[in-house]
Amino acid sequence: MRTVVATGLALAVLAGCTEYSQFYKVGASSTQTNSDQAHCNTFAAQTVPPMIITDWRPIFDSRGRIVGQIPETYDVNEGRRYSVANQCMVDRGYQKTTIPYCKSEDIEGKSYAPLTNSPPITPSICAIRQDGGRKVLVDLNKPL
Amino acid sequence: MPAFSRLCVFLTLGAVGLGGCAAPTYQTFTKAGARDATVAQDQTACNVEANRLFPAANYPVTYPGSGGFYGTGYYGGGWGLGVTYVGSTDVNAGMRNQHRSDCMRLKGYTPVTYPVCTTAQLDGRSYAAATGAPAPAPNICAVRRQGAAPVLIDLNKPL
Repeated sequence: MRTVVATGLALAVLAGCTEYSQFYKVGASSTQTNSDQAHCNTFAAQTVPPMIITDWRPIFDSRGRIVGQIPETYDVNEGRRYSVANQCMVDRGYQKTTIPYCKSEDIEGKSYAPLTNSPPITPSICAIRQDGGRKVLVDLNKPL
Repeated sequence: MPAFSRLCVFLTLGAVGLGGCAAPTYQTFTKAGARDATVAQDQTACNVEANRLFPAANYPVTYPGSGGFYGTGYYGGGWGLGVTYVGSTDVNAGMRNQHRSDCMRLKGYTPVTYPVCTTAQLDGRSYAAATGAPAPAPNICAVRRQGAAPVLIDLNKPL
């Protein structure tokens, strides 16, 4: 069972290296996508305010006996807030889309113009990481 | 650990943490032939646009502490002592800053970063503000001002 879980986690981590997930709407510019995300974030912050609670978490000794308690404070609305923000993006016509990163052998020695206005996703479209963590989409079928 | 000693450690860590917050560089934008007033006007326009498109969205951030004194630390804009700290972060801040920069680039500007002058560099002397955006060089640095944008000075030209 543990092996299955470990393998699953390893695969999930490796998938994070080869692809990423983002809200995507065909025809939307990156500025429009970011602006919609920002407004959805604000909407979610306003509609799902923080609800901070403090729980006392038991401390166990090696025999499993409770030997003390420590406070743990958290926002019980955190998950709901992110759900509201995500739903807001869906309502604005976005879909959570997985986009693969370009393989280095596919882009080495070639230049591509970053795609604007989110074209329909096809197998030739992939993402390139830039400095600062930004990602740009390119079409491997359209080198400069 | 006695409460007083705990407070002393907390304050010392706080001073170190706050020291780390001061940005040692100043970023502005430059465009050949652009006057200071024009640059300021364009920056204001980009700021207004960025603030409109990317309004603040403050999300609470909680950091599960280990409890007790060892949970003390500086986390995401605030201090927690002994218990879990609850902070706040503007999740739109990154996109807003990115838009400011993109907006200025679209207006034909190039971002330039200058170091902030140290007290040792200034050495009690007075300098006139440099005009425009001089090319970055070891003798050019920025002086922060309260309630106003930093000014650039040329350390080779004291008054």
